[in-house]
Amino acid sequence: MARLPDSIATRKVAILAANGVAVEDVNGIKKQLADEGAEGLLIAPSMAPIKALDGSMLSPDAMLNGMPSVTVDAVVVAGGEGSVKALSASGLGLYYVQEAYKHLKPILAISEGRELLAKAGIPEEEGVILVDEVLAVSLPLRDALLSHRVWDRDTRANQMPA
Amino acid sequence: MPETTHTVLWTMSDRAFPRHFRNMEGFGVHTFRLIDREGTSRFVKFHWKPVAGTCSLIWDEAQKLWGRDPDFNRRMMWDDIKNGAALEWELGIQVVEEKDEHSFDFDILDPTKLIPESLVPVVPIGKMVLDRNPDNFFAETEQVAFNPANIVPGIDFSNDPLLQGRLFSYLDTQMLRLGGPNFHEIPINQPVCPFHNNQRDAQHRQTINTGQASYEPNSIDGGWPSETPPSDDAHGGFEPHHERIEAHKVRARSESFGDHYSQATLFWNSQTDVEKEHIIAAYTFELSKVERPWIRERVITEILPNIDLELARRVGENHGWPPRQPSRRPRVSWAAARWKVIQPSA
Repeated sequence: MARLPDSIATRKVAILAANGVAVEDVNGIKKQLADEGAEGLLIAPSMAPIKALDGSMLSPDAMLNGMPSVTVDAVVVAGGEGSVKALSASGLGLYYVQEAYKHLKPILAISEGRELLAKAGIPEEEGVILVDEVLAVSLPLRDALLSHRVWDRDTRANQMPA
Repeated sequence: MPETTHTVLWTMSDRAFPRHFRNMEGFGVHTFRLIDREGTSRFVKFHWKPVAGTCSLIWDEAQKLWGRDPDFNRRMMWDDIKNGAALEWELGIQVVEEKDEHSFDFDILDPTKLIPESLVPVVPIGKMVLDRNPDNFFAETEQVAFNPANIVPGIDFSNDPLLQGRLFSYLDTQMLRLGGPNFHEIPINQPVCPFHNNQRDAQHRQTINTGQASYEPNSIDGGWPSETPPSDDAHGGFEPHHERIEAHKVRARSESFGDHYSQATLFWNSQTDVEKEHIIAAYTFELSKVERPWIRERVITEILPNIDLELARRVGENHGWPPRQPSRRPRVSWAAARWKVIQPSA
C-alpha cells in the first residue's frame, strides 16, 4: 500500500435490504456514515419502494445488479427476518456478498443479516463483522474502511467461487 | 524490450487501476529545470500526491467494473464534485542541484527512471483542488490540448531525450487532432493573460489581424509584428537557460541509460506480500494471452529474473517453464534484440 487514507470521507457502503428490513438499521448506518462524509446506499432487489418491518416505506438508491459490489467499498447486510430471507433466496443477493468477500472488502451483518453470510459461505473471520444492533456498526466499519481492504483475506479469497 | 521492464512492472501492479481518480498518484517521468531569479538552474521532478491516499481496485474487480459501468471513474469524480466532495492533490517537487546531476547510480535524464524519495524528498509546494464540473464536457475537456512545451517563467527543459522528442511531437499531434495551428484560440486552451505570437490566419483563426505584414522587418506596418527579445523584466520573451555545451553529437544512447532492472527491483521490493501476489497473477494472465511462445519464454527467463528470482519462478511455474538463473544486467543491443525476434528459439 503506497499510502492509506486518513479518513473515510467519500467512501461508499452498500446497505442490502428487502421487504421486512429493520428500518433503524438502514437509517442508522446512513447517518453514521454521513457524519464522517461517507455515504450509505440502500441496495434492494428492485427499484420498487421497500416496506420495512415497522410499515414505513424506503426508496432504494439502486438495485442489486445496478450498483453491484464492485462499485462500493464495503457491504452491510441490514437486519429484519423477511429482508434477509428474501436476499438469501436471491442469486444476486448471495453473489453480492461473495463478490465483496473475493475483493477483500469489509462485510458487516446486523442481527439476522448473518444468515445471508452463512448461506453465501462467508466464514466468520477478521473483516467479517457481526453485530447485534446498529449502534455497534460505526467503529468496526470505520476501522475496516480505513485499511481500504481486508488484506489478510487474500489467500482465502481465491477459494470463493465468485 | 528490457527498457520497458520498469514501466510494465508498474502496469502489472495494483497501481494500474486506482480505486477512484482521487486515489491516483501522478508524477512526471521527465526531468525539467527550475530557473530562479538569479538564473540558476536546478533539475526538478513534479509530483501529484493524492490527499485521499493512494488506493487501488483489485484486478478482477476492475475487469468487472469495466463491463458493469465503463464510466465508473468519471462518474464517481463527477458525482463527488457535484456533491461538494472536491478531489485534492498536493503538488510536490524533487529538486536536484546541477552539480549533483551525476551523483546517482542512474541517469536523472532517463525517463524510465524515477528519483527515489529516500534520496531526494518530495517537498510540497501547492495544491490542486477539483471542485467544479465543466459546463460543457466537450468544450472544456475533450478539446484540451496538452503540450509539455507550454511552460511558465521559471521552468525550462532538460536534455531528457524523450522530453526533447515530445516538445516537437505534442505540437504536431494537437495540430492534427484539433484541425490546424490555431488550437490555442479554443477557449479551454486560450491563455488567460495577454500573449503574443507571430501566427496569422489558417483554419479556425479567431483573431482578426489588421495590417498586411506577417513578417519582420517590414516597412508597411510600423515594424509590427516584431519578435519580443528576452529581458530581465516580466515582459521579455522566452530564452533557454544559458549553458556551455561541449560534447559529441552522435546517434547513440548513453551508457548511463543501460540499467533497465534496478528500479524495477526497487519497485518490486516496495510491494507488500499481497501486492506481490497480484503482480504474479497479472504477469501470469497477460503472458497467457501472448500468442508467440518464444516471447513468453523470453519474458519469463530473461526479463523477470532480473527483477526478482521468486517472481520469475512463480510466473514460470504457472507457464510450465523451469526457473533459470538471471543473466544479471544484460546489455541487450538493438541488433541482438532484433535477431532474437527473427530467430525464435521455439
